[in-house]
Amino acid sequence: MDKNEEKRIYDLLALKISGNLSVKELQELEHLLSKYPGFRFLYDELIKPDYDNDAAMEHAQRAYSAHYYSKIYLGTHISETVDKVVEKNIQPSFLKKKTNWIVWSAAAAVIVIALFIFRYFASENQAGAVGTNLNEMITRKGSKSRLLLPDGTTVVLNADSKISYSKDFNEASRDVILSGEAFFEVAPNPARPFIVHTEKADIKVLGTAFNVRDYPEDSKFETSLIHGKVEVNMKGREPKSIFLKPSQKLVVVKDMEEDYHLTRVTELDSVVAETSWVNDKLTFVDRSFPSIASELERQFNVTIEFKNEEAAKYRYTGVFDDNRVEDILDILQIIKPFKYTVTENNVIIY
Amino acid sequence: MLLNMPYLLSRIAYARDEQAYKSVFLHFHPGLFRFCISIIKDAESAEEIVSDILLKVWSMESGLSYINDIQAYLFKAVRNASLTWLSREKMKWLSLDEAGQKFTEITAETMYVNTETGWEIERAISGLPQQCQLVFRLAKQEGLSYKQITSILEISQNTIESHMRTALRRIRQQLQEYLADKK
Repeated sequence: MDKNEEKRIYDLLALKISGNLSVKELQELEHLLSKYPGFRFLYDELIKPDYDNDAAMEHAQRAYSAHYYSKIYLGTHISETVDKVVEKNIQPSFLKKKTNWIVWSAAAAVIVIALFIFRYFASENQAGAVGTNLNEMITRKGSKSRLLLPDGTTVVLNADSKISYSKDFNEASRDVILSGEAFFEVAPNPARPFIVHTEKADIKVLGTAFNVRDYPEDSKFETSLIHGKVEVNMKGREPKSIFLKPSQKLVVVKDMEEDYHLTRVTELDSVVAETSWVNDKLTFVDRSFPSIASELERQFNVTIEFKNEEAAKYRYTGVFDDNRVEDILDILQIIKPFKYTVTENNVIIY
Repeated sequence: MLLNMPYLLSRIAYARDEQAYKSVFLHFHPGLFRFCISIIKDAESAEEIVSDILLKVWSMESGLSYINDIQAYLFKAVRNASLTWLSREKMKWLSLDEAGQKFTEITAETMYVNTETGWEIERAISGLPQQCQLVFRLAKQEGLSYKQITSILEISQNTIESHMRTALRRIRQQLQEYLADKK
């Protein structure tokens, strides 16, 4: 075969498969192919489409979901949780106001609803931005919520927490965003992984029941596995992947990027400490009084102030299923002595 | 799907339009992912690299308007990030033979090739020298013109033509051997 003609066939073939062949060149190629039919097979094979476009697009959709929730949403919206915390600190007088308890909680409910509406409209009206079409549930202090996701997963949201998920949840993937604490019982679906995104890590569920705790104000991120298997992908300079087996708990100390440790969930009086809150029981295992106090603040929507330095050093262990903060304080008082007063929703330890 | 790219990019840069960003993401992700994986041969890391680079489209805000050719920018960025990744992973690289084997499994899987001759062609492409392979994949799988390839890989048009000829010759040879074995 003529060397020049061989070169020419290859050059034309190359142009053809990169989609840049002129009509004249195509005619020339056809002519050469009929002259040298040995190249016909190569031509036929190479012009076939070589990938499944639908599958590639589905892959891209899944990649977008994961990408969006872990990088875009949390990156741009994390400031909202910060604002909430700041608000709490600079307006203590609001909470100490001598208003009627019922009126106050109604006002708070209105504020929460207003926040919902504001958020909804804000995302619709931003200069043409269609927004993210998210469903959100927010619990304020003193209340818990149970919700059912479109795929059958049940979520129990603890006080002062927020969970969001896209309106097309369950289509290509199942992603939720969590700030605070929630207990998940995930409906099995091997085709669509269930992923919880928090500020500190992304948790991929390969099993069923687990607890995630990542309050912005807390210094630790915790996730405890009850049934099944999860994969925790920690964000940070050196992303890490850790698999949890049932009864394992992962604790990440937030200030130190690389500091994490695996431990077991704690059982006390046959109650699992980390998830007892789901059944309205509070469990503390060798917890400092101030730390217990911040949990009580969240659960009962009160503020607790320590005027007793000694008491602030106390540590307690126990399971409580009382639904008044005074009842819990009474018990703690007996175990280790201190005094307290309650005015409206303000507790002072002295 | 035909996209008005300059319009979408300005929506992203100035109006922070998330739907526009999603369109751009879905448009470029398949090609960038295939390209990345053909260099680094690791699906999970390819996912990370492509995600980080596409994130830049969002996070650089108005800086986006200074980019003339977004396609070249993204492919170049993926190429650079992939080569950096490779040099860091060099220690863990398998021998050339094993790499060829493993590579075929990964890429064929992700390319969703489903015919036997398709597999043979994929195997032939995987066996090509790296630069030659990249040129061929960009031309065939992404349908890029030689001009676009020159801006991504920063090589001359002549080099590209030569790589294409080499690739086609080797693929033809491999196919002939395969068909001969079959008979």
